[in-house]
Amino acid sequence: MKITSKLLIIVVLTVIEVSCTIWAALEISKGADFHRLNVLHLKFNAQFSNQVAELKAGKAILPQDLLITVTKIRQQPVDCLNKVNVVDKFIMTQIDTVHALIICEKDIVDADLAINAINAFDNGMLDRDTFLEGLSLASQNFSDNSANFEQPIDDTVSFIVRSMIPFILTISLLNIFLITYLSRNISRSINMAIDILSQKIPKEDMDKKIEKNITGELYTLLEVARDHLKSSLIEREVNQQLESLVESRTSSLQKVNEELAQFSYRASHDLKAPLTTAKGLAHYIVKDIETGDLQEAKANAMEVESQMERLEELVVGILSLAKADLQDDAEDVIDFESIISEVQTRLSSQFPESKCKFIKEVTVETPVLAQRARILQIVENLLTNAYKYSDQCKEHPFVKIKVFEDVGDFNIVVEDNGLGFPESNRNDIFKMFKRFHPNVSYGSGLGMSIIKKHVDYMKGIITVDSSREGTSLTLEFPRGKTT
Amino acid sequence: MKNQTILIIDDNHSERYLLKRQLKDAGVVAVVLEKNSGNSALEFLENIAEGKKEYADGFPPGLIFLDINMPGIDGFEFLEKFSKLREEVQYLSSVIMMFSTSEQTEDHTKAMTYDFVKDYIVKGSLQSEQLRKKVDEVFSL
Repeated sequence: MKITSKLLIIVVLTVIEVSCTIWAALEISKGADFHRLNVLHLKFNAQFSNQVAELKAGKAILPQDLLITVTKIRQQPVDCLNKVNVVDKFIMTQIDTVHALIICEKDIVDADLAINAINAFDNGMLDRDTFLEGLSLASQNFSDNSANFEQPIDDTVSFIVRSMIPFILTISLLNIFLITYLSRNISRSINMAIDILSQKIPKEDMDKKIEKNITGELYTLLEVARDHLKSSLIEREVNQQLESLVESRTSSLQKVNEELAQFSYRASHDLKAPLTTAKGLAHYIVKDIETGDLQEAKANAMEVESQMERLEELVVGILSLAKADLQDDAEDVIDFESIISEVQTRLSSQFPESKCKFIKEVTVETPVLAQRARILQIVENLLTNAYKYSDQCKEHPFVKIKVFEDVGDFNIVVEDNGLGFPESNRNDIFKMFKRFHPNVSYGSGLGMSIIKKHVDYMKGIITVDSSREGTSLTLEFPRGKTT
Repeated sequence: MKNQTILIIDDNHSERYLLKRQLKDAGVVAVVLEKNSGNSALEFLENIAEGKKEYADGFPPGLIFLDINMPGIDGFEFLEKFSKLREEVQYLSSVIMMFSTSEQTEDHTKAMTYDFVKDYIVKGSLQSEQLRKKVDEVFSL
C-alpha cells in the first residue's frame, strides 16, 4: 500500500476519534445543562408554590406576577426541547429514556393550563376555589415533572459516558497501534531501500531486488532519482569525452605546430644554404673574370648552376610534401606497369651513367583502387633513392621493384644492393631533410618523408631492412574499397 | 714559427671552396685541409702517427672551421666527440670556429658551451679582413 494511503488511514481514524470525543463532551455538557434547567424549574416552581400558598392565605398576588412565574417555569422545558437534536432523540428512544422529553412536553401543557386558568380568573371567568385548586394542581404537576425528569437524563448521560469512553479508548488504542505499525513499516521500507542500494551487487540484480521489494512512493522516488543521476552521469560522461577530445585535439595541434616549427627551421636553412653558396661563388666569378682566370670562373659558374638545381629540387620537394597532406583526388584502378615505366624513363635520363640493372615484377591480379598521384610519387621516390644511393663499386648493382598482393592488402617492395642506411640513423630515416651520405649530397632529403606521408595517408606500413650490402623497403597497404 | 694548419669540416664542397678561397684572399698563410664529414675528420684527428708524419708541427690543426648541418654526425655531435679526444690526447692548441648558415641563438649558445669553441661565424657574413683578424688571433696565442 502506498505511504500516502497509510497516512490517510491514520488521519481518518484520528478525525473519528477526535470527533467522537468532542461529541461525547458536548453531550455530557448538555446533560449538565438539563440538570441546570431542571434546577431552575424547581426554583421557579418553589416560587410558584409560595405564591399559591400566599394566595390561599388571602394575600393579594397579582395575576401578572403569577403569569411571570409560570412563564418562567414553562421556559425551562421549552429550552430543554430546543437543545435536543435528532441524534439525542434517537439514542434516547433506543435506551428508553425518551420519556424525559415527553415529561417536558407535559410540563409545557401543564404550564399552558395554568396560564389559561390565570387568564380565565383574571377575566372573571373562573371562580376563586377552582382557580386555586388548579394552581395547586399545576404546582404539584410541576414538581412531579421535575422529579421524573432527573432519572432519564441521568440515565442518558451515563449511557453516553459508558458507551463513548470505551469506544474512544478503543479507537485511540487502534490509532496508536496503527501509527506505530505504519511508522515502523515506513521506516523499514526506507531502511530496506537503503540496504539494497548499499549492496555491492551487479546492476541487474539490484534492479530486480528493487522491483521486488520496494513499492509505492519509495519506488517512484528511486526511479526519479535514478533517472536524474543517469542524466547527470551521462552529462558528466559527455563532458569527460568532450574534454578528452579537446585534449587530444590540442595535443595533435601542438604536435602539428612543433612539426611546422621544425619544418620551417629546416626548410629555411636548407633553402638558404644553396643561395649563400651561389652568392659567394658569384662574387669569385666576377673577380676571376676581372683577373682573366676564365677556367676558374667557368667551373664556379657551373657550380652555381648545380646549386640552383639543388635549390629547385628542394623547393619542388617541399611543395610535394605540402601537397601530400592535401591531396584528395578520386581513386582509380592503378596500372602499376605504366607508373613504373614512366618513372623508369625519367630515371634513365637522370642517371644516364648508372650501371644498375633494373628488375620489375608486377603480379597483382585483383585491381587495386588508390590515388594515382600518390602511388606515382611513392614509386618515383623509392626508385630515385635506390638509384641515387646505388653502390657503383659493387660488381652487379641492381634496383628491383616488386608489386604483389597478399590477403587483404597489396605490397610494393624496392630492393637494391646500394650504400644502405647507417645503423645508427635508423630512427631518422623518415625525418625531413635527412641525408646520410656526404658524397651523395644532392637531393632534398625529403624523399622518405614524402613516401611516409603517403603511406600514412593510405594507412599502410613501411618496413626497412638495410645494411652495407643493400636496402629493402617493404610497403604494405590494406585494400580499401576494391572491386 | 709553427706550421699553421687549418682544417675545414663541411659536407658541401662549394662551401669548403669558398672558405678556402676567402682565407687565401684574406692573406692567411696556412695549410688548409678539408674533410667532408665529422667522422672522417675524427678519424684523421685520431690518427696521430699519420698526422705527425705528414704535417709535423702542423698536426693537430690549430684552427678548425666546423659546419653544423651535415649528414652522418652533425656539428654538435662532432664537438662532443672532439672534446673527449682533446682531453685524452691533449690537443689543447686546437680551437674551433663554428661556420654555419644557422643564425639560431640556440645553436650559437649551445656551441659556445665548449671552452675550445672560440667563435661562431655565419656563412656569408664575414668580410675578408674580419676573417683574417680572427684567424690571426688564434695563431698568435
